[in-house]
Amino acid sequence: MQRIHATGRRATRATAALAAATLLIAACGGDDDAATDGAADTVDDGADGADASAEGTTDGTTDGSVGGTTDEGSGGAADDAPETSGGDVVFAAEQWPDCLNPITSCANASWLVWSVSAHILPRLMEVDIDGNYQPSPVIEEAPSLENGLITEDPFTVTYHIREDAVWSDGTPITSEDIRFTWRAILDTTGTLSTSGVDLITDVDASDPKTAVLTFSEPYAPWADLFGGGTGFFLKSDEFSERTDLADDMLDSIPWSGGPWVLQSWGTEEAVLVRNDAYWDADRVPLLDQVTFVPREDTDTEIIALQTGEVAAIFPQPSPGVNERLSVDGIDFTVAGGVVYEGLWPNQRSPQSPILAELAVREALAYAIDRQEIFDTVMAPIYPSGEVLQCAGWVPNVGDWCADDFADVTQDFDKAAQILTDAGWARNDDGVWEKEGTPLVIEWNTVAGNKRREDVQALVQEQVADFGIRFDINNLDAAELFQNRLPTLDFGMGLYANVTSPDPSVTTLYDSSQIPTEENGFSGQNAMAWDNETVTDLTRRADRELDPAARLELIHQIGAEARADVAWIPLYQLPNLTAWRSDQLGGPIGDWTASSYGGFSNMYDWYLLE
Amino acid sequence: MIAYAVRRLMFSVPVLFVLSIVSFVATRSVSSPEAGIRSNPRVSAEDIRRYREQLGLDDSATVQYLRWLGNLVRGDLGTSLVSNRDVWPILSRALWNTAVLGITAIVFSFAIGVGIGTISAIRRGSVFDYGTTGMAFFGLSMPNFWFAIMLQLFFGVYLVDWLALDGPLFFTAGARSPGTSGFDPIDRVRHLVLPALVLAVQLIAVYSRYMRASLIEVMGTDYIRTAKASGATERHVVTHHAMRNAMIPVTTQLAGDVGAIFGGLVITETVFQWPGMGPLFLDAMQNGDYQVILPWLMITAFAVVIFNLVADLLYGVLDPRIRYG
Repeated sequence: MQRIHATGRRATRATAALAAATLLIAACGGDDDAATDGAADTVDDGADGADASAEGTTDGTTDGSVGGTTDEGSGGAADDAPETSGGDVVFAAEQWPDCLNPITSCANASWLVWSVSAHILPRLMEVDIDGNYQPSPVIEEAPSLENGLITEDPFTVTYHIREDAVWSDGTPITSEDIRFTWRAILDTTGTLSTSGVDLITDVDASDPKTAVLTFSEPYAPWADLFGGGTGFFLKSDEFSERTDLADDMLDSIPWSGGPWVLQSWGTEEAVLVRNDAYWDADRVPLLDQVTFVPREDTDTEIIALQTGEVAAIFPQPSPGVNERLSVDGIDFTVAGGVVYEGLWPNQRSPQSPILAELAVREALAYAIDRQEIFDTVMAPIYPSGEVLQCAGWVPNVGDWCADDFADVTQDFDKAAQILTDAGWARNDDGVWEKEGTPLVIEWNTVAGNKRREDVQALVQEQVADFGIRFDINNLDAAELFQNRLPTLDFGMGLYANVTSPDPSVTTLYDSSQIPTEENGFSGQNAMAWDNETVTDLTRRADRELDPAARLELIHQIGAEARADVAWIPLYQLPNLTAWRSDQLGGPIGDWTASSYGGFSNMYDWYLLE
Repeated sequence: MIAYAVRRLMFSVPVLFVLSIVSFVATRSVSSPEAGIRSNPRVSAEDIRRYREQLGLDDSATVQYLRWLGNLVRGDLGTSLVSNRDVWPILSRALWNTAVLGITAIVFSFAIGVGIGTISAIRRGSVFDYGTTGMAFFGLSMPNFWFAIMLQLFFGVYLVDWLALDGPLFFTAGARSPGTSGFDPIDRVRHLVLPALVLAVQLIAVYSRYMRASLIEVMGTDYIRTAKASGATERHVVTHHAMRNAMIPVTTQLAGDVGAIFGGLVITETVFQWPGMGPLFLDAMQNGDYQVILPWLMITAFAVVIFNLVADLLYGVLDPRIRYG
């Protein structure tokens, strides 16, 4: 008995020791994930931010039925609350960048822009809430032909940098920073894109406050270089004249030319603090510190907002999300984003060569009911949206999106007439057929993507009686996007694409961008749309400096896309900003549709009393 | 025993080598690092061609593999194709986080599971036995992701409302509170509890079932009958004679589980945003980053090999009749 007791005590002691050891291990865990830039100390709540003025709040147009707001520009319940400065908040990021380097493929991650670079990297021109280019606080005025800061022959763009524009350490922003960034983008191993930058032949930095960019040829998207949607420039004296920056800025960017300074960044969080040296009083942050944390699972992200562990999220909307966010203490805004989705017929498809025939593509466009598709898959999450009527742009970015496809509504008679005129006839099974070939289209999308599979089911139902058949062959995302599209080994795709503030669609439509062996299967024109007129128009549009003339060219491209039914636009994917209205105040949600992301104006956000 | 262990380790080298080839071929055939940038409207065909050339992606698969293997032999795990960051710090951090979560869950599960299994076996047919059997099947059949979300909602939302708390008792995501640094054991434990609980529920079910079945079998053997006939109490028989043998299959399972956790606890780590091996692997696969995937596989495979070896060696400790040749 005594012995058993002893055993029991040993077991108890062992269990206790085990538990203590485990807790110790657990407590130590993750330490290394901490910031790479030293300790992420919090900033004193009382830090001086009193002289920072917010632009104020916007009136919210609350949609009472869902407890949130579904139009751009809504502010939310907190708008009437008094502004305060100071305080720390935590926001969630739905994806997490692998690194910070804004030049290399790191920059391909949207969340790098949304959570870090849009807040710390300065830009020359910038995009406003409506997708139009405006001068940033770095420069005195926007270059134009009228003010002489743009010349046509040779093509030059001159920027006058504001005298008070400084980096976070107080050193002035100079034209040398622009010149250095130009070389760095060209010289860095693994640069994401040199488009446009490679046309610059010289950056005159002889005057520290004047940068003169000289190009080899006119380049209309000039505003996207060193600014615009994703452009930026770097602090040259941080790099000791090295211009291959492949090994730099991997997990730290200690300097800033934006309203915030990146205090630390790691796999678990990014900590931004107010840039006290920022010269534009309208954008000096009210908050002391913002911490972004990854919450890559949508359910977890929403629960984190519900629990108050994070104060705002910017998730990809999904069915049911509006209902989940319609609770006390949370407001949200849904607005059109920069991603659009459609049907992409491959005109060089080995599986469905009939897609090369215009009549087939056009008949398909008239046979499907795009409004019903929108109402079924998109309206529940984006009730204020509409069917997308242009091919390559979105309505909320600039004036580029025209109503090219507005006439394409479901019309079986018209579709039948088009096919009949082209020599097609219905066979005994009711399926259209021509020279023994039935109108059967291989259709590929991402397997398991519910939205897209719902579209497929709906379209099959819509055209079943009309006599068009689909051979559904869905693939995992890697197979579809990495193997099939680049080699044109698919039939008709259903997938999304991204537009940029600049309307150039050269990478999408130019004939030279059709993936071929010659270009290493690198092009993005996966429809294999080989149209000389359009190729010429895209190139002319890229060189046209007169905005009005360029708009006309872009609209011509859109009209050609409609005439050829190069692809069939369906809808624009929305963005969503949701926040704790009992914690945060300010014009939250105003930038939901922006390419800078829903957090872009967080300098105007504040903690409620 | 040492010679046996060394021989087993040497046998694992060709296994790991073949595994690396298979993994490389599989990774390169289903994904590519430049795939992610193809849909970027700023990226032209020329950009993609240059990108491939600079990263050596146009080299033959053999050249790329041998380049990676050569670096590995020299102790260099290389740099990520996507982020250009050194792979080892990324991997070691994820490995540590996964180990913390996995080992915590296993330690508690093992202690509780073995305890439940032992009592169930001794009190076979009792209410406790039926109750724990039912609970075990419930634990085994419950989807991890669903249970995880339920826990998040219960502890993060409902309990806070019901008890009018200032914040959640246990945090629903992450490994530590954002914006904090330094060592805060309470904070770490509050982040660890829910993911560990999700893992533990299934593990407890497994260990308790193994232990119950094994102990029942052992208790029916001749030597246990002899021990009982010699006048020893049941507790003495169980603790001194039966449990040691009954632990053999449970130990095998335990060693296998410890080895397997280094492969990441993908669902649990993803739902709870735990920065471990699972999300790292998913991310690397999505990016086609074989420079991360291959070392990841090597480490996880090596862990499985090592812990299987540990299990084999433990057989000998638990059952002296087993000899290694």
